[in-house]
Amino acid sequence: MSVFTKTHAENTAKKLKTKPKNAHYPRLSIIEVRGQTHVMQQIWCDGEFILDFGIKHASNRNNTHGWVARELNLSPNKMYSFAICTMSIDEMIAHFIEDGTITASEGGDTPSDDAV
Amino acid sequence: MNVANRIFSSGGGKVSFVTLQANSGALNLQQWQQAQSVSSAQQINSAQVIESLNANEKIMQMLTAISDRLPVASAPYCIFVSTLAANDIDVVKPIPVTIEMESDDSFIASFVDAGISSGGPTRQDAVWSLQDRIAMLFATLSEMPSNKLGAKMQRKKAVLSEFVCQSSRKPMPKIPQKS
Repeated sequence: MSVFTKTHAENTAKKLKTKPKNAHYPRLSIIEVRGQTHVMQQIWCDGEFILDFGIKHASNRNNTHGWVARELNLSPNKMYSFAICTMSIDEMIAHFIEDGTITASEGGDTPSDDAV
Repeated sequence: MNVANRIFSSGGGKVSFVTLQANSGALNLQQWQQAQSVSSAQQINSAQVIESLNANEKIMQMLTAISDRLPVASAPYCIFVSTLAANDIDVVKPIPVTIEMESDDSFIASFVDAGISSGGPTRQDAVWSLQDRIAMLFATLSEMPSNKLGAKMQRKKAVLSEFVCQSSRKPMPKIPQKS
């Protein structure tokens, strides 16, 4: 498996902000807070602070950021595929709803089978 | 007996360069051997090695490189952190931090209970980064009302509150400048 680098972590942060295609899914927003060694990426959903992860200030863009997957409760494989665009934002939000990071009230109604 | 001597003499007082070379891929021991005109298969006494290198720093660098490549070094282990090196935050009880090797030049430090992780090129750097992450997150969460936090962040806040708190120490008073 390829290494998850700082560039991947930044791509992840950008991609999390994109609008999901599924109208039932909420749009996530990200607030960046600068710290001593990190830029903290706060993920917000419908006015609630739901998750966060850190991107290091390191100048080397090839520095590994393997911990991001853990902070977002994803497997390294899924995290990598999200960063390189194989996994969509809709799939990511579906994962967040499934693992309880986004609750039903925040996420709105999960689309039923007949709605698709 | 210093650390280097102890490790060099662990194999019955003798150490083979073949073994050393196998353990330390990053070190160019072959060049060193050529410089020292020593055959790679030749076994030499630990005292001779130390004398001929004549530089403790070099030995320590070699040992660090070797120890980082040993199978034991790649296994996760736990340490306890009792400070966050932040002026306004105190550690109430030692924070268990799991350190594991991600790749040859990358380590991840995690506070598993709170689900906070960070990393760096060395173990020390990984722990420093994690300390900063914990301090930042605690400062952010303690300012936020609970109704603005998702389920996971509420849990993180609860766990962090068990281990850290706002410092009761008063900030250093400013020294008045003489006019």
